[in-house]
Amino acid sequence: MRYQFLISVLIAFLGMTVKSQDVPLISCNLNRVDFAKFVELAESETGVTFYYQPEWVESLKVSLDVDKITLSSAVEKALLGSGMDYRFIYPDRMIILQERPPVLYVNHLTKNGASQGIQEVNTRESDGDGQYMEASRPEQILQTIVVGEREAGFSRTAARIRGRIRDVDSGEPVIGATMLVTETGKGGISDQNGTVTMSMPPGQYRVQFSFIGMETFNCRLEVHSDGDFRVDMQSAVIAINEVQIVGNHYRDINSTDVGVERLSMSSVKQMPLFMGENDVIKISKLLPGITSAGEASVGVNVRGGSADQNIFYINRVPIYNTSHMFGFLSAFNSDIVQDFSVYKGNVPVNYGGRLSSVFNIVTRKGNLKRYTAHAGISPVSAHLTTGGPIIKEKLSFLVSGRTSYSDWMLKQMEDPLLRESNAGFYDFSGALNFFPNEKNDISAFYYQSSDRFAYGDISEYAYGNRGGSLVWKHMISPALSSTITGAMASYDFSNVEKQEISNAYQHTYQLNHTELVAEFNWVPAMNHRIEFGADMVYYGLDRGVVEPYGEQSLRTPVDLGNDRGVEASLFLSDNITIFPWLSLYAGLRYSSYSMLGPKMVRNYEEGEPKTEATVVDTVYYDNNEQLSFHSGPEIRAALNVKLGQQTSFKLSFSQMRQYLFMLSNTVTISPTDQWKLSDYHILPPTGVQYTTGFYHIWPSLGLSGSVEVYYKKMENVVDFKDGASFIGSPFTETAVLQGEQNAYGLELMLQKSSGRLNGWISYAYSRSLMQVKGVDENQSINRGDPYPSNYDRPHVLNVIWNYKLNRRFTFSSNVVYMSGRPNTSPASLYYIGDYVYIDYYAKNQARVPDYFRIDASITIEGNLKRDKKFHSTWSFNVYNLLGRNNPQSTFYEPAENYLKGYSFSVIGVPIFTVAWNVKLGNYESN
Amino acid sequence: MRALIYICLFCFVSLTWAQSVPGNPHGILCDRSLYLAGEHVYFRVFNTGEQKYMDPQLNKVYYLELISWDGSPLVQAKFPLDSTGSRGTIRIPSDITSGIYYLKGYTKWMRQEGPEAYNYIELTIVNTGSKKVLPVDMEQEATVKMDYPDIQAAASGLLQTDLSGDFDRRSALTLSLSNTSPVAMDLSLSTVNRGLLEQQRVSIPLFSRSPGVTDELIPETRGVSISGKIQYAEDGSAAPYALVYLSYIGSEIIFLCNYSDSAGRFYFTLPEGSGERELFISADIDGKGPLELFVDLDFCSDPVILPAKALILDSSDIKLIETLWINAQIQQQYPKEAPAKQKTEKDQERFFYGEPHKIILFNDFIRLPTLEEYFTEVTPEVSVKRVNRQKKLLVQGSHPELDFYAPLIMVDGVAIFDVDALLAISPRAVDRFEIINEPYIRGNVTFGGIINVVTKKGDLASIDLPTSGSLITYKLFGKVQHKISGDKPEHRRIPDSRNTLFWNADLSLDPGESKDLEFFTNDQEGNFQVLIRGYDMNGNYFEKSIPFTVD
Repeated sequence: MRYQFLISVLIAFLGMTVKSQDVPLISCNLNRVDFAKFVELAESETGVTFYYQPEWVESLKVSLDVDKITLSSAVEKALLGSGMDYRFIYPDRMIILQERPPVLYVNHLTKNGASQGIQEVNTRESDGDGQYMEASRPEQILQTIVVGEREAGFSRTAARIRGRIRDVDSGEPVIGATMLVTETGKGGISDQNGTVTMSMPPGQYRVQFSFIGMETFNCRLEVHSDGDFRVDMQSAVIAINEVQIVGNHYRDINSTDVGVERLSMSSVKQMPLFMGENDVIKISKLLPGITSAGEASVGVNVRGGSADQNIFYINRVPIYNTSHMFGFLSAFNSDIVQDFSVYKGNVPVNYGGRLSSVFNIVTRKGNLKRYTAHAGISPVSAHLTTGGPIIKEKLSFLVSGRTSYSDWMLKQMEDPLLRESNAGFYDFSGALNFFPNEKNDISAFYYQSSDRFAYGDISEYAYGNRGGSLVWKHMISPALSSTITGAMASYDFSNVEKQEISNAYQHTYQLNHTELVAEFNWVPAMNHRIEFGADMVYYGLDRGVVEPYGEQSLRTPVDLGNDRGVEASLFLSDNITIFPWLSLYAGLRYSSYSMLGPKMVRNYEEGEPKTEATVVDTVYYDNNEQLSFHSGPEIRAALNVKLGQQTSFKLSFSQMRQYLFMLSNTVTISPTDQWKLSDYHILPPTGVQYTTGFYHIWPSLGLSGSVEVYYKKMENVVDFKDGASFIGSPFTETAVLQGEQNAYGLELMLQKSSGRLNGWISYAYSRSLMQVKGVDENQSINRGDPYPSNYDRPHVLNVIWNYKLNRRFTFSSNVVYMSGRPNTSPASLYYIGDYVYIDYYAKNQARVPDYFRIDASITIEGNLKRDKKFHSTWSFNVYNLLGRNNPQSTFYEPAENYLKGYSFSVIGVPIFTVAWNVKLGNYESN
Repeated sequence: MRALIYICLFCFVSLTWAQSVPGNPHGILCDRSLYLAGEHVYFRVFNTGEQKYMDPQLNKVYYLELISWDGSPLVQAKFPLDSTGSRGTIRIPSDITSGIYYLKGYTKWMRQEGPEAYNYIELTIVNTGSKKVLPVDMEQEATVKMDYPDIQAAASGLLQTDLSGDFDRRSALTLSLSNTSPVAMDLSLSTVNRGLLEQQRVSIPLFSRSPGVTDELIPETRGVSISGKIQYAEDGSAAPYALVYLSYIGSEIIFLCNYSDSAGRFYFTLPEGSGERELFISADIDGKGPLELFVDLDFCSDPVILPAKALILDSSDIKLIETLWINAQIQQQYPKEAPAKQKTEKDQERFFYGEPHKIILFNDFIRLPTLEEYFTEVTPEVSVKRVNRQKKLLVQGSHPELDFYAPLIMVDGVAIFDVDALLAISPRAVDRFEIINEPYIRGNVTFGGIINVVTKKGDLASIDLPTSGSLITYKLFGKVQHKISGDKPEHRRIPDSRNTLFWNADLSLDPGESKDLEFFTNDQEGNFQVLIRGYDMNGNYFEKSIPFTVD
């Protein structure tokens, strides 16, 4: 504007500043000389004084070849292109101006020009109205995230948006973070790669991202079209007394998940320790519906199912034995666990293969930005975890190891046999995570564990897991992503039994599991979220040879043979939001199973018990020849009816099929238990579960509560004949009976996951009844009548609480009450001749005494200084504070003329442990 | 006690006022009568002793406003007032509309008389950047009478003057003055292009109201003051004896505290200073009820109408304006060298309490989510208590007073009452805590120690200020300028285009005294005049003009 006009007004009115008036003339011939030089020349020729700021003309060169032109036009030419202007003030001042001055308006103020003026009132400095001054206040501004092309404007169709939620400090994905859109009330939860996918109409939204242990991130989301966005969440030390409902509880209300328990490591870390270690499996046993046989037991029983009905995945690697030291510790180093979920009700279609539950553990990804390390020692073991970037922001690693040195403890035992014993374990895991770009995510994981135990000179065990997985997650488009997983796992054990020299034997066993899964996640429209894919598992079992041990053993070697099988499944599910208050999960998994040769199969007489005596003939199947085939659909469906923002009601129906089971004649899993594939004779167990649940959250109190009722009916469940031995013959069908199992229960849970006091109370009433009705009484158990299963515990109450006095002192405790396990007790004892005979009541009609235990711990953290190399934590724990003898089992021995009952308990005294954990960095480092 | 002082003041004022007779129209003089938008007006206010409302004993602040004829203020400023009067400069807004304006001057004590008794002087202001003109309503009857000053020729004759020098461009001129009268003279002196300083109309004070002492108009006997009232938000009733805090926001750390009086009114005299300050004032009565706080307007908002006059220029005016404009443009493009930058590296910022006993540097610790946790986890000197659902902070220490008195709680030296708002501050914004764990006594208020939350940016961390507090921008003194005389430009290539060659607001001559004054001409040739105006000690106004030509 100001450059557009020449000063026409000036020309009209100014006598003294008109550029061309009464002008001095100048002639010169200059070639690229400094402006100062030009000035010198002009001044000497015209007598006009030049005024200018020397810095303005420092780089200005003048080339001028003119003859008698006005000084003004000479200056104009000299300044050409410099953006500068000049003002000649008659008669003798030439003033250079850095820029052209604005237009001068003045003639409207004369009498003649008055009509040109525009009447306008000034803006007043202050509002004179009123008596008092106005006070002001600062405002808050939110960050805006733009999704899609801003230039293109808002698209008309729904936009599929995908966000990647990362921890800004480590670059690791945040799993299970909640994204909540304030305007629509809709939300999403980030998956195992920290991605959250949503479909929404384009527009502007206020969005909140929250996750336990992270600072809640509020922002404005401007959605234009399909696209990706990234959210960096800042890990936060959660306010010690802040009460909030995050993640899991949001999911309780809004998702169709039924019978799912989730624990994030930040909540696991607050639990009381046992032997100085956090242990996810141990903590899972405190959740409703999950029980175990007691101390030192390996397996878990989920909703009345046997221990072999659960599968444990760590980064998709199946682990067939999840314990160290007979279950005193679990095989997972909790330092590497990031997220832990248990599906005990409705299992998503991409998982299958077990009747009762899926335990899914996702490990941390290595820190992409800096090195981390954790270490700890406890009376029995030491552990070390370290991770960090190999290529910053692209490639990271995480390795973790644990080893025991528990022999000194055994040396303190009273039992001379235990003093002679030794035990040990180690586990190792390593992970590599590669993020080549925003669209791909490749991770490799390796896991290995090993345990050994020598019980005096009576027996020796050794077992181990080994496995690895490779996962490639690829974002095909904002709406479609794929995950391809290859996993291999093997489990083996060897066992030497030498109590009786004449019967001493040794046995080695190995199971190989190879799995390939392709999963696709597709968001085709706003109300749908489709998952589909295929899953293929190859099982190879080398059941080993039972060989005599030592020269004096009289045993004949028995080759238990090999089992090979292939399980293949296709799955498809859709999560449909029908109305904001009604959503449906409809899924189908179709699985098939083939047992493959080579295999020798016996045929037995029709309708007769399968014994050596009823063998008709033997058929030999060639290599890869299919000797049995089973298939069937597994329907998984769930319905969520939201009864408000804080309440929901859910129904679910879930079918499961299982193609391998465990041969076990002990109550708990023992290292010698063998996995066995279902075969020509043994049908795959199947199950169906109906669950209904009612969920409510009290956000102001930070409480969430749930009630779930389930009924489970399972068929072809395997039980074993009394006194069955699995190492005497390769023909398992002679020792196995199949029946049906009914389980039902009610589970109550009240949880507070934040605040100074947190924890949960859970109560479960449940029954688990078996019925094995064979062709005759010999082929039945309990005469074919229903009987409580070995793990039937009607009442279970768990109370877990933590109280944070402040950040550095935490008290925690848990209380466990369980009904005693069923057992079969003798009814009478009689003598025939010198022999004692014992008559028993019906199977599992009696119970061992109830189980009750209180643990307590105090954790003392190091100081909260920021700049320090190490942060350490002391934990003082008492396990079984009351020193109660909780019987594991009871047994009877005949005395004079009665039976003397004994109960056996594993730990009958309080066990006090001190653990010291240390990590690189400060209190908040992970 | 306070009431007694008022009564005494009232008696004193009434007595002195009763004796005073409205004298000559006088008050404000300026360096010119014609200005461009964006220029500075240099002024001098004479205190001839006639106007008792300007008694410097009672008034230390002179309020000056640039207003249009209808009384709307465009510029408001405060200047220190002493026995000789006041002087200084104000800048005309560059977006002002061309028109005839007035300067309005008064003291707080004069406000009892109403705007008719204030001092006014007419100014012509031209905005060369716009075609807008100030509308005038000739129908409106003025409430203030304006006239040309009555010049006492006799007094002028007793002032001997002599101007000597080369009368060349960029040369020094010497003005010799000598007072041959038997009374002292108080003068101001202006040297401008001839025509830029014409006789200006000044007001003739009218005393329309009978004076009365009101609570609101407490004389400013020490400096710029701020006053207001506190009331209960619920029913609007006055909140007496509330503790009132006043703090400056920004680099200057000032903290004042006092109690409101029985009528809920509070009054503070602000420490000496110039420019504008952000103030935060808050009040509290032991956590009782939400309070509302009102701050009185510092400038008089009583309506006033001055004679409306249209701005019509003739050709000679236009010529002058063009010269002014050219000079202004040159000045704008050749800015005077910026004054040497103040040392930005300040010493460790010190608050009024000096060295704190304990400093908790947030950087030393991990990030904690709330400020409360910083107190509970890493600051053993402070405990957070919950009393009736309200959180309270207590300083722990060996002095028993710490248990009885609430501590002084501040954010960046800004005192606040609302502990919840303090605890809601994001710890990210905070640099440190400073803690004094000894009782702190300020006037009649005792504090159980001091807790100061110092933010990283010194911006109070966007604290959610409570309704019982007010954040206001308050004017302290404007720029006091006694003299401009120009000097030789250091570089011969830099033009000198001052529109006012010489201004001296403070020139007093005792009887028989002579003075030599030196000033510099600028690059411009033409006709100038030195105008000497002032009063003798008898209160007679006189003028003397010395024309000269530069060629």
